[in-house]
Amino acid sequence: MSTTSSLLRYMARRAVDRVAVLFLSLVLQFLLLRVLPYYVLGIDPSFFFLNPNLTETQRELIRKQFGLDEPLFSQFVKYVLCLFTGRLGYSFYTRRPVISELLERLPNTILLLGTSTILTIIIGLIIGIIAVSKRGSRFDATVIGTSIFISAFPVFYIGLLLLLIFGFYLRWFPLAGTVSRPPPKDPVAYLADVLWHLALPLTTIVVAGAGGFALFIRNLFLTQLGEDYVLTARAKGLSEREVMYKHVMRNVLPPVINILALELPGIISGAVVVETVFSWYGVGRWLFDAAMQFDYPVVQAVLFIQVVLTIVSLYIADLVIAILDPRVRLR
Amino acid sequence: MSESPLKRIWYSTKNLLFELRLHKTGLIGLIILLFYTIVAIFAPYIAPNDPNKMQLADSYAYPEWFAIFPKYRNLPRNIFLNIGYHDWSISIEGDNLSVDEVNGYTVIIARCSDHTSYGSVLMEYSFNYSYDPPRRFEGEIPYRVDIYDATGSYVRIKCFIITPSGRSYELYDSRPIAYNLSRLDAPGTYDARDVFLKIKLGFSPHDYLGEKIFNEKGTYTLRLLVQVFTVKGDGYVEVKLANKTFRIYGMLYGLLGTDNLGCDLFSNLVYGTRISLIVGILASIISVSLGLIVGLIAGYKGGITDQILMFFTDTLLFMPILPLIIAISVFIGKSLYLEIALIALLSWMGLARNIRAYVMSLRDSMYVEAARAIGASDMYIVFRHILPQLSPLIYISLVMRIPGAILLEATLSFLNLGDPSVPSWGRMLYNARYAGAFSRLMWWWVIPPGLAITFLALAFILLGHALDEILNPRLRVRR
Amino acid sequence: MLSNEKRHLKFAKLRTYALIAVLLITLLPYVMFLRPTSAGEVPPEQEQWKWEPYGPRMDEYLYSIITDYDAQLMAFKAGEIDTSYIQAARLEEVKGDPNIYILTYQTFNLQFLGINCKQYPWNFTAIRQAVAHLIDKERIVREVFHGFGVPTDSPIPPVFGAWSNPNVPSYPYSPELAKQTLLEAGFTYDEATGKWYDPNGNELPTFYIQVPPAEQAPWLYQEAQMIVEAAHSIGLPLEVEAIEFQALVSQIYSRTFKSFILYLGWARIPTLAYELFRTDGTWNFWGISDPEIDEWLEKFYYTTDIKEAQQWLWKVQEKVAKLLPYIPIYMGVANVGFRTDIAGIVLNKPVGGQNYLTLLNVHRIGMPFGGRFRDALGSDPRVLNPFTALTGDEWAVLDMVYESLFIPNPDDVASDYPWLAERWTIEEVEIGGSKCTKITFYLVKNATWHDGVPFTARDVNFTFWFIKKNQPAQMYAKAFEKMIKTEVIDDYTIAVYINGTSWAYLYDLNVAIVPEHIWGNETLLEEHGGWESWDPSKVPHPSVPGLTCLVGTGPYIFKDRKLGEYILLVWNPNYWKRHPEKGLSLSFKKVDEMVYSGTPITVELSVTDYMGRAVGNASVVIEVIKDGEVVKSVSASHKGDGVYTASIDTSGLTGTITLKVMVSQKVGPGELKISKETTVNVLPLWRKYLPYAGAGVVVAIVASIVVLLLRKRSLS
Repeated sequence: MSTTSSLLRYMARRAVDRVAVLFLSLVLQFLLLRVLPYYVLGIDPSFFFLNPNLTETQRELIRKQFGLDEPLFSQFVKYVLCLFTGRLGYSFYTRRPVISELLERLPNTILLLGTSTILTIIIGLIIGIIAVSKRGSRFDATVIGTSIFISAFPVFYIGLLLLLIFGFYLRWFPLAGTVSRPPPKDPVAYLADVLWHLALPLTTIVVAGAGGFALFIRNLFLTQLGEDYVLTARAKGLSEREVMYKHVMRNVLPPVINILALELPGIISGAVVVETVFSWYGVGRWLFDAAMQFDYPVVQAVLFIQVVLTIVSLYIADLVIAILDPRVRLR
Repeated sequence: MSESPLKRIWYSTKNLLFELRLHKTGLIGLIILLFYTIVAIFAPYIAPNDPNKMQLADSYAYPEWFAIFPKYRNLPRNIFLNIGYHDWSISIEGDNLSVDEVNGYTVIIARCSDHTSYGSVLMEYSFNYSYDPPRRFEGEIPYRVDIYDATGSYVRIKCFIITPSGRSYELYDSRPIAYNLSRLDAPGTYDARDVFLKIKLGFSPHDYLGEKIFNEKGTYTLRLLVQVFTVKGDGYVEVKLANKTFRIYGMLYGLLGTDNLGCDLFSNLVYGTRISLIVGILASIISVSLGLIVGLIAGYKGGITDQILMFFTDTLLFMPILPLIIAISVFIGKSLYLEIALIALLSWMGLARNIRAYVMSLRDSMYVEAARAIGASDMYIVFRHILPQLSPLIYISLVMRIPGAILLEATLSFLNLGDPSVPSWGRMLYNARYAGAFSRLMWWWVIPPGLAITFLALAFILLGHALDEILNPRLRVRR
Repeated sequence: MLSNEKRHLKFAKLRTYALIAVLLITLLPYVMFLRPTSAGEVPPEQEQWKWEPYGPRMDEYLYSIITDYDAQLMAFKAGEIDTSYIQAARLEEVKGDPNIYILTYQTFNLQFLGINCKQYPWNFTAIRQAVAHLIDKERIVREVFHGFGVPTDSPIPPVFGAWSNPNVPSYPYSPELAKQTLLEAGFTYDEATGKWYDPNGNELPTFYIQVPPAEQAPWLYQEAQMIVEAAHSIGLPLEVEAIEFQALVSQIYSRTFKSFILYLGWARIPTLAYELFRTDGTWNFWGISDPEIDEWLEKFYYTTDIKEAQQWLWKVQEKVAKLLPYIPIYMGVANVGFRTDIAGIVLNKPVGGQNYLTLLNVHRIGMPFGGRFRDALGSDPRVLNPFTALTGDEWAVLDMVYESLFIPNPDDVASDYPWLAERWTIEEVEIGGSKCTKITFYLVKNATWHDGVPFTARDVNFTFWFIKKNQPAQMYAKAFEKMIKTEVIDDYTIAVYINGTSWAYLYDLNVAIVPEHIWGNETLLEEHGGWESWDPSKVPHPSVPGLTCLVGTGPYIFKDRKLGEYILLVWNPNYWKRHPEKGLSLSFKKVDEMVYSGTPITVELSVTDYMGRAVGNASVVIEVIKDGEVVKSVSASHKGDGVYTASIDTSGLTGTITLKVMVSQKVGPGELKISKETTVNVLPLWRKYLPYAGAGVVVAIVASIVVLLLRKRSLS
């Protein structure tokens, strides 16, 4: 059996598996977000839009537009079709295609989450690797202590503290928003303005994430260094550097890739909490606001996107790992 | 081998605690946890107030210990007066009037005579006020007027406050009452925030009456004036006064001051411990039980059961937890138990996978094979051979799952998706954020709840790490 | 979601976008009352301001979207925005600020105890009346709202002026009377056990008042608590049930609630009464059904005479106040803060918030024209489409762009002030044997859309039929449902025929008028998702660069927006109600009064705008008019500092000529223009030489005389 065909077969099996997972998650979401509130608890999302002048026929019309009068199964089929036809359905609230609303918020979220994810990974990696190379030192102990301590902080609390100190008390940074209103016209000043607004939310996410990531990297390396093959390699007289790069890296990479794959969807779907604390006009806050307005299609679409992205990015991660490590395919 | 599983669990727990003693981090975690547990259990004794009780002092009051700083030393304190018959200095004008104490009430009786007469009772109470001007004060005058066979007679009750420099303000005027009226249950009141009162006294509706009236230090006098007009005849008029209350709301209160509604923040903080602990522990137990059951069944049964269960587990793993919980909480409603259930139901998947993998390896091990060979039932094998092997993993997961649940609960409460009827730390922070604590820089409101969450979560994390070290010998040996 | 509704307080415009918003206002923190008063000093200019129906005075209107109220208040205090809604609990923070003043005004929000009249024991009228006696409205207003509120007894509150019946049965606070009411209705009270029994002999079970939990709305909880305590004093088993707000609203809509305290936001004209009290009224949550009320309501709604309608409504109120489907408690009040350099806020009289004309009158003190007004929105307008917009914040922006046929009269909010319609007539006509209402609107003639297209009756006609066809939920009202036909009589007159007769039709028709050339452009709409799904502010205008499809006739033009951050509008220089003084001014610096034909006329003039700034980018054309005919036109060139010069060749011209100087400056998509005339006397060329000729003649004469004299002398 050639390696390529075994790889292909493995990936195909995975693909089928993942599509099934996607389908089941759609069913679950549908049950939780549509069937449960309306059919079990009797909360009618259309009440939000009813005004006293409406005639009975019009009420029916609105409910029809929301698809609430159809049998459950056909509602489900419509729901799935909507998600896959490229427009992700229509918002109850604005009646606009969800995709165009999403695209309006995406740049902000990518700006915030993209930069912060990259920073988190870089800082985490650097600190983690330094800590593991100096394991047992004071630096290592500090990293462990700080990381554990920070991991006990709720993310929103980090944001609140930064906001209280740097926003309200020192007044160094703005309290809300992504740009000044209105922003400066000069492109350089504009960029500076954006960065100025970005500073606090970015710091919040990086502080919340980097410690944990560093700890993860450190422990990962540490476990690997304790494995038999490292002992063997050391026994063979390989230098520490060679051990690190030839053997350890190879085994450390898969979990790191996995973690990265899990982080990536967040760049699109945003961070509800941080975006809410800093009034950041992004996808995460949109999800929250939409939920508050009983705008089911938006909520479902955002959840759907996140599931799809997770599945896709993990699938890619699987592929990469399988290429790196042929043993995986046989599992 | 004859011990019951329960006993074995007890022994292992005892051993664990014994071993924990030797771990510095574990010990710290345990001590913090113990502290929180005591606070949670004795919350009603530790907290001076019901956390939901409003108007304990003025809203946004400073903590009491701020008085050590000169800037805050003179801030107004709560002055709650309850003035009864013996506290008043009473002077009577008019010969047909008599004042007496009956069952704790001050009773004024005006007898009709052969001519119409007009008399009054002046009651005065002085107290010292030596702080900065307060913003708020209020008072109640419970009274009852009964007119017996004297139609046409009337009573009028007024209340004044007289400042040290002699300025006098009329706070209350009942206007003539010529009929029987009881205001004992719903007393006559005056409130410094009342716009009509402000206008009547010649101030702007946005002024604080307290600041305008109590702007001197010295002796203030509350004056209650009961005027009685009696017609000719044989009847009489009875005015019954219960204890009059007078309250100045302070700007210094409790250990952490008050919030926008005048609730005690410290009591809120203390009671919040309960919610966090309950949510953390309950959610963790449910979630671990779920993970255990699913993992056990999947791992032990294998085959199609395993595949279906793992497929389901994987699906849930792919679902974004926080957004999902947010959406469900908004759509379904907010309740503590729903929250716990949601947190638990969406966090067991990882454990289930681990346990399944472990159980699978155990299932194929020699001694399980041997037990099966002598005809042991599945139940027996699971409880006798597999569960005990899993116990370290379960212990660690139980502890390690708690901080996550606590943080998630705090996050939900902060987004105002928590149960609004229970005081929780997340909710305190939500209130701080949306009731103006930030623009007032009330750090004593913002910082404590967050730190409380952090240290509670930290305690469990430390404990978890210690347990991990004890129970996962691999790590210990290789370090 | 809740904060959005605050905007509702701002413009009590005639619109039925009340919808749920109305109930949602609930969580408005303590709102308050009274005549306009203030914390800081109200600038004299604001106090003495006499509104003008012209404007806008400001050049730009900037809406910052600040969803976080703390940040909004900070921005307001820092002077980054000019106005902000002030929550009563936060009044203190702005109170001492000398740069801020506060206007306080009564709103159309009624707080009431709504009752499910179909649920036992609330279905006994006596129970409802007894509970009404247990509500100490004065005390609630004083203690819970510190006096900021107006206790009210009438189901249609006194804010509505002539619509409100002052003589409805009232229920003064008195537990005694409550007890008496119950006893009279056949209820019995067992003193020994402290239990009440209904007229059928059943023990009265515990019944409930539902309110959001104390955490969400402490004042509502407190009020309910006060009522319940009063009930306990006579032994009534009434209790408070704290219920999640969303759940409560959902129960109200499904009519499964018990009784609740919430707010009801009325529109300026109480047509809502028709739906509130009618047996199958869409907002009859209480489930009252009374043939008499139904009959009166029909008469109230289906008459063309407003006076008559008011009388029927009075009768309805009397009966409703007896049946008590809801118990009115008090009318709310709002505080809005302004920076002290802002004046020109137009408040409705006698009550009812800011008038639409505020948009035109508001200006900075010491700067009657120009500048930027900075306002804040509490939520990002998710859609700027007049047919789907829902929240007050969305309408706050749309109101600046689209206009309607008439607006509330600020001097008497219950009456109407003509706007896009100069006047209108209402007649009863008969079509095919059935009675119809014919409403004829006579429209203003000088209005244009932002893109320069004239506004005509066809636009109005289009809007009406558009609504009839598409039935947008927020605008589709009875008048549209029953509209039979329209007649566009000429460009500025339109008649609408509506089946049945009702005075309320007029108000139904007062919608935001949209331009036919945009909304009737089906390919354009189709391309962007159809009328419901498109957001015209996000689609560029098909022909005019720089404009979006969000064009109206209004005072402001939608200019720029960053989603989630701000919306910038600029003033409409072509506005049909433009302030007469807001334009260019032109002064001649040097003009020759008299020239000789052939000599060029030098014209030097300076152009300044309404703020006294020199205008350098104007185009100045000078037309030379002789005997009413334009002989030639010359354009002047800019010499700097707003000074323009031109020289006009006069060869071939004589006599008095008129110079017409026409200045125009491009401002946004529009133009400011001014023209001025002056006359110049052009003398024929020979007159230039006349003196020389004269002199020559004189010289010649003198010379000839001299010659003659010399000759004479020599001869002699």
